[in-house]
Amino acid sequence: MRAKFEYYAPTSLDEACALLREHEGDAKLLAGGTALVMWLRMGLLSPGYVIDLENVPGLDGITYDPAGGLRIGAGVKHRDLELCPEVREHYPLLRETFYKVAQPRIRLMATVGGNLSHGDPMTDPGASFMALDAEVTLRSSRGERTLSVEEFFVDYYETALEPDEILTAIHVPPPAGRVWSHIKFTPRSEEDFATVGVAVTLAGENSRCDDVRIALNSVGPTIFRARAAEDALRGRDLSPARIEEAGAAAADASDPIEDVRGSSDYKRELTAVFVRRALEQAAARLG
Amino acid sequence: MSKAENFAVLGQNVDRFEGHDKVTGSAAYVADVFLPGMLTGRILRSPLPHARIRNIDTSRAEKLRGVKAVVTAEDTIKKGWGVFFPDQYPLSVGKARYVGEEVAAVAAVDRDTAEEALELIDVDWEELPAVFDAAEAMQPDAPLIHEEKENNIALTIDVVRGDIDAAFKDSDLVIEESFESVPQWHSAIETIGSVADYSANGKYTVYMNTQTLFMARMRLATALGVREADVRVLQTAVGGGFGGKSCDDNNAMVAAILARKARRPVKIINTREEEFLAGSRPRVNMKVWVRMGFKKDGRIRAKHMRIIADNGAYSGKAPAITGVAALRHDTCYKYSDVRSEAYLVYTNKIPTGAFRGFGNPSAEFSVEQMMDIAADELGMDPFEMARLNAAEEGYVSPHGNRVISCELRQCIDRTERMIGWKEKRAARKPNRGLGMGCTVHVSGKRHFGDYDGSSATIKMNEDGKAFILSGEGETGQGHWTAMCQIAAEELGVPFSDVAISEADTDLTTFCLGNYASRLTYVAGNAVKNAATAVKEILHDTAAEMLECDPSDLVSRDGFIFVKGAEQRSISVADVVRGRQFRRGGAPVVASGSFDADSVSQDALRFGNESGAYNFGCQAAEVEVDPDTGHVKVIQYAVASDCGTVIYPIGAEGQVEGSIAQGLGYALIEGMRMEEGRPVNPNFSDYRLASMRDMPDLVHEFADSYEPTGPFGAKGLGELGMDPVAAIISNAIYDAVGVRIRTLPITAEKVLRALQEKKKNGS
Amino acid sequence: MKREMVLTVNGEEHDVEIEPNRLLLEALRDDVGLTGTKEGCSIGVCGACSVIVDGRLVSACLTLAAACEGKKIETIEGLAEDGELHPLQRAFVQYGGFQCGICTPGQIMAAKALLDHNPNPTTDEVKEWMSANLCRCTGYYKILESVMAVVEGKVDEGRRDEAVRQARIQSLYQSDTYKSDTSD
Repeated sequence: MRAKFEYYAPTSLDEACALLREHEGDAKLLAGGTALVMWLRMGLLSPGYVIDLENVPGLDGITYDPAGGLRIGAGVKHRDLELCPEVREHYPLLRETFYKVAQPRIRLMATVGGNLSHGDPMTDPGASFMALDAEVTLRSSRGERTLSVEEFFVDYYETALEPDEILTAIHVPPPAGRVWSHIKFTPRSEEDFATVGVAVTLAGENSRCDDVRIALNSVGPTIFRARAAEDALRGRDLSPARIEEAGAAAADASDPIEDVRGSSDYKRELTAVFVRRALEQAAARLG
Repeated sequence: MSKAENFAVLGQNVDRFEGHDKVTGSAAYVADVFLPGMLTGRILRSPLPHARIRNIDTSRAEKLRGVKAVVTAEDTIKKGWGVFFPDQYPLSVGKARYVGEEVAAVAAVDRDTAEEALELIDVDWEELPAVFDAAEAMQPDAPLIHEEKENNIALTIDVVRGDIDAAFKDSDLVIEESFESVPQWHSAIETIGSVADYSANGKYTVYMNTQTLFMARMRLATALGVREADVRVLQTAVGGGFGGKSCDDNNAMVAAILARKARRPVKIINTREEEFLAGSRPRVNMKVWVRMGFKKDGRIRAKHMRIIADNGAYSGKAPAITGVAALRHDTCYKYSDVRSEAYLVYTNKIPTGAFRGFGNPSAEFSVEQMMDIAADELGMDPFEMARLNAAEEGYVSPHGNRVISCELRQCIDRTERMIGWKEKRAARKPNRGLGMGCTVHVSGKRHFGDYDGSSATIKMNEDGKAFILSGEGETGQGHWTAMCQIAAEELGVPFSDVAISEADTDLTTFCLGNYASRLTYVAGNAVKNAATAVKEILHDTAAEMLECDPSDLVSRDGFIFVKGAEQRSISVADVVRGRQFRRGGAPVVASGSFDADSVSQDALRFGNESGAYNFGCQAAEVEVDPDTGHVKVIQYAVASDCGTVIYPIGAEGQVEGSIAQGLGYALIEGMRMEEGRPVNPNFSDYRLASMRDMPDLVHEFADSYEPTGPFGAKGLGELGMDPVAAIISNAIYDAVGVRIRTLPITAEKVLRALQEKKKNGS
Repeated sequence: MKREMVLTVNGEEHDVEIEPNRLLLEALRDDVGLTGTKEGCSIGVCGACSVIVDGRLVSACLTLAAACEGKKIETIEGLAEDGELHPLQRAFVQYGGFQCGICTPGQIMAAKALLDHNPNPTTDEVKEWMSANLCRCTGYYKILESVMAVVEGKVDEGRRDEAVRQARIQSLYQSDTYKSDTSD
């Protein structure tokens, strides 16, 4: 049965934090609605209060400066991030990733902060933010704190957000000349969730890997960094054998569930394939 | 070959009859029907696949404010209904046999209240052992789903024609394979729904998005225990049917039972989840074993097929579907000696039923792969082999199907050219492959009460505009438009001077409805006959008015002319008025009937099942990613023999839609089931192809003329769907050398097969 | 608790009294009485309920009505002006961009939202955008053709001869599926 709730549309962040505090544990934040409204309709959530963040100033806007990097307001819609000229120029990985999320109508509705706060391991943005070493800012009436995206994802649909906290912004460090690649494998339909998603950023030269970050979605209870795979490459030559080894290490670290998109074994095997391909693509972009 | 007829309206891309309503949002679908005092109905469904109901306590639900009626089987006559076996009830009697089965229902002032009331109904369940696989359900120790059905077998078919043993002995090549298809859900964007009203004088009025109006009335009358005339069914706009809205579900019955109890109109619209659980009856999944014998020149010599078909918990149309799977495809190629065995078996799952193709897709998935395997073994080109075996005019299948028009060879030639078969095979690319296959379907089928016909009435308005009364109904395929074109052509009036009624059991004559690709051929003939009769009346009156002999008259563009003296003419409107407004005046109105020259199959399932047969050939080019198993369809080619094309946009749309559904069936659509329970029954997990997923599609219609069809036309709607999955599988084999025998052909299955092949070093 | 609010739909203000959990889809259909917006999947996948809110395409099934107060809502009913069909509507009729019609209001609103922002999209941009709207009848070929007819200014030319039309349909699909400009 559909949840019944009171609806608030606060007009300041302080007001939103106060409301969240007041109804702690019984309130849900509404941003784009693509996840929350669906869950409310299905009765998966039945909060007494829904707090709409749309009228809260300061949650919108994308700003970029070469020294500080990219700040994305949590209320920025996927589509706006995808089309943002600075993102296209300096963070092509983000542009590519957001272009592949669901379909344009969902991207017009869903917000970046909403996506991360939902903690869904099947969605794409988290992996790319991890590969870019992004951080999230969490705000409550108790204050503000910053976490890496990696720390933010805790478990299946579970994030580090406390019940009174609001994710307000995502900060992505300057690109620092890293190359990238992104693969979303959707064998059934282009609009499907990823069977396997891989985001890679790579620093190096002439096929030598100085640093690499490999993040995966849809193949574990959370979106995660394949650290063993990174270790297999860091400071080494990106030879086919090493890349293969990194793929295998990533597959070892994966823990996919069986669903309509495939068995867990299949997804694990494909993790190796797509990490290899993503690394090959990124390596090909190295100067 | 086509008869060169100079048509005025046929073959023209007129604007669709109901087009403006559909692009402006004003077409009224069932969810758009609002009646005064209307309540919302919701259904309590079985959470268990097989369970006895010890007791149902509805007292708490009844007390909830806003609840106007709560019903269980106690509010019904407990009489089974079903087109072949009356084994279904509107609300569970004694036990539930699948997850989603209707157990009780509530009508309330709004949805929230109705849903709250459902949670207040207490059912005391006794869980029973359940069985989910048809082959397992046939085993002696399997739990019985219907106590009187031994081994859970609903139907057995064993048909032998010719001398099958001798034919296999006489074969140079004998191959044997097993295949398995999956249930496919219609996934019409509109779910099943109804609005039922019950009047004080005992009459039910039911608005439904059904594709078989009179069948709906018949079943409602049976389940409600009233006469047919006590039920009026009105067809609303239908948001996609494909067989799923041919009334084998309980939605409208439950709405009617609630309406009678509440004495107020009740609307029940299935949620998407309900549609998957217990709405449209998914395609019958079948395990098919086939053995085929061939002569070394490629001719088919013998075929033996054994099918185990999954009926689900109740029998809708699956018995007929199983018969089609067993026999229909033998009309596509020239066969002499065949044996077809089939078992239809109950399982504790959603009942299966009619879906575009009606058993034929499972058969073609099997046999069209056998043809490909045989061609490969014999070192023949599959197109050559198809041409060699193709049915032709005058062919009579071993089961008695008589083919009048047949342009299968022409379709084969066209498809071979369109896909670029020879060129592409001469310049092969790695991991790319080509596959082809042929298909046959009917134009109506004699299933029900020894009747394979239709009827229509045409009345002329005083302004000269013709109005067709027909109970067949429009399901989206463009049937209304085609019927208006046929009437306009025959009457000699412009397309804009013909309109057609909505289907309404009180106002139109009995019609069977939308199934078996029957409308253009069967209903088209009825409409044409009605138009001929009306034209005769018009000409009789015009002859009086123009003082000439009726046989000297011709009709064109809304006028009636004297042949050879065309300045002597009169408008149709003037003729209608002239006949009406005079002493002893009368309307211009006439009915037309048509019953196809088919016969009911006898006890041995022999008999010409349809008045006309439609043929086609298709081919695909695919690319396979050997590391992941991902299959991408690069190009798809289709040639269809549907006789004269009446409404080109509509006909093309049938082909295009068929291929989209066929590709979904082949590659995408599968539901994970756990203990008979669909996992994530929604459009996020059960994916439909999107615009980007569609391949380049080329298609053509054969030059063809069916002498028994209206202006040479025959059926088309299902033809294209049937062979797609086999063709994709054949193309995958051609690309990477692995053959997938189960549906859907997921990337994972392809990868596993490739790994297996590598392991075996073949 | 029901609340009174004003919904501005196709330029007209409607007073409605609704629960906070009321969806825009329900408010439009049941409270405002505009039933052209359809429900298909109920989870934002199929696009049958596509409407435009403040210039942005949204799924009305995932939008709370309460969040739409003061916003400009456009639905299929607002497209035709004085009975004159919008070019997209004419194109869908002329090019057969629908069969059963249940997804059609959503398809047309989606196409309108695209053309409002980008009057000259490429074929690939149209395909990518329109992939957000599912259709079970057409296989999408004639939907693409209908939208492209508007883009190319071919509405009201009528359907040309079959060979030209077939060639055009093929050219629409032979172009490779959209490749992101940032990928190699």
